[in-house]
Amino acid sequence: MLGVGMTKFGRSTKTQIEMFAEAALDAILESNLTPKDIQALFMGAVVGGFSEGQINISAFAAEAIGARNIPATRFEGACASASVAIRDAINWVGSGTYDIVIAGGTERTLVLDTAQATRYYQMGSDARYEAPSGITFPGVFALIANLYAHTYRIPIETLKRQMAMVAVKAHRNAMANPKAQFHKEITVEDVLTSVMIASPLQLYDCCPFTDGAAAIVLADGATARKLIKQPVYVAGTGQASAGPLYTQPDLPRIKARELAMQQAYSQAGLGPRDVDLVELHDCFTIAEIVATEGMGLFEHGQGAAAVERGETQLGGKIPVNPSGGLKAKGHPIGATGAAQVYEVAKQLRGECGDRQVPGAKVGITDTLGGDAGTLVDIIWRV
Amino acid sequence: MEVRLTHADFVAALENGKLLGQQCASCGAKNAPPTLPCRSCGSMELRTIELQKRGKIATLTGIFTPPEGFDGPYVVCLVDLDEGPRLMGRLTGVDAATAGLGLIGRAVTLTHHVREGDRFSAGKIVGFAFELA
Repeated sequence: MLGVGMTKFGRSTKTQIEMFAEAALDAILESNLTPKDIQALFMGAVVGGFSEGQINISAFAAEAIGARNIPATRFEGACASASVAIRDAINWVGSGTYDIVIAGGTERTLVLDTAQATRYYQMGSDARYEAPSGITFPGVFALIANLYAHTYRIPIETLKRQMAMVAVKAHRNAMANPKAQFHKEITVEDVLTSVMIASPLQLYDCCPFTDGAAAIVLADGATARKLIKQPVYVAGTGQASAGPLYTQPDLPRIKARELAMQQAYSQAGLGPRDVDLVELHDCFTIAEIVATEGMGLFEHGQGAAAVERGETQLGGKIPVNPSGGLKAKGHPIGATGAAQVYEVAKQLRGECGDRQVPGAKVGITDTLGGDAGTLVDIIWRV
Repeated sequence: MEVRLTHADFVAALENGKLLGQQCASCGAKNAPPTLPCRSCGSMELRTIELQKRGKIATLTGIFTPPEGFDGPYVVCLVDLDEGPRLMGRLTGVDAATAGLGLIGRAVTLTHHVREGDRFSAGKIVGFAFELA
């Protein structure tokens, strides 16, 4: 990985393509390249057909950045879209087909009202046999939260406090992230008194709707080293899928993540102990807890207690989401995977200021889509 | 290879009060909703049968922010049917504000609900509904 770029997440008056172009051009310039050097484009974008009436967005994005006529592909894996794009791009470069590519994503959701956006996000569940129940994206993780409490015999009040601590951490970390959507600290009481969304998840247990884009330049190692001082290397990748929630007997464990993570660890020749930081998929507070377990950072059923012990804070045993995560940095679903990679790149290059994890050498990005149906894990190192 | 039990036929049967499943000739597992390969062993040797409509709540949630076209609040649950398959459906007769861990494990019977579709639903919406037994 060479240069990286990201818009400030939040409400934007810019279009999906404008936001992507800004992020992409930042990444290209940071790589000491021009758009003409880019050989292929890979991007995630999910609900743009609904929010702007735009499909085939990758073709327009290539033209918009001045990368004339290059092969351009859009990936859709719900909230994992950009990571799917990035992993694919990695494989095209790794295979030697391309030397220099751009990968990332974009999303614009704040032009939609909540009920509309909820309907579109619901499409990440099974339209035939789940959506008719009225399930929502927060509802999916609410089902998982209650099942987690039941499975591990944790009183729901205890779990809710531990979940709230995840949100508090997210907001605190985001204070040091100029690109984050929110720059406001919150307390456990703020979380527990916020409006109920899908029980037991309350408003501050949930990531926001966000507009934003992020992009990274990928190249083979030799090319990268000629162009920039500190490339970040791909140590390993993994991807797995799963069917609707009702086909996943392992819940509250997320099997697709465990498979994807194992692929990445294997490829990298690394394990959980080697990891300095993770940017994982905290679409909801419970999602962060479950993710840490699926990634092997804590034992199954122990992730919530680990949060309470402060082990995932900056300065803790394994910093989780120093960027502020999806919760406080924001979650433009087509772009999120690329924003996680942006953070890991900055961390591994020592450019994160007050949210820097000292001496970080190995970082993981973990991105989940839909009913835990698309999972991508990538290990990065310097 | 053709899909043997289609969504359309499954839903039509559900509207007539029948819960169809597919029994695997290889491993005996009962599958629902419809599938091509057996979800347990992968065999394609499936026979359409009628399932019993009894199960237990595996997990649930009270939805307070419904999608466009739904009126909340209401309760959504995952139910493990006595015969094996797990389904997602609406839990009727339970106040969303009280939908909590205490209901996990409770016995339910299956019914269904029908609602008008929207622009994205490819027709009317037929879903599973559960009542506390």
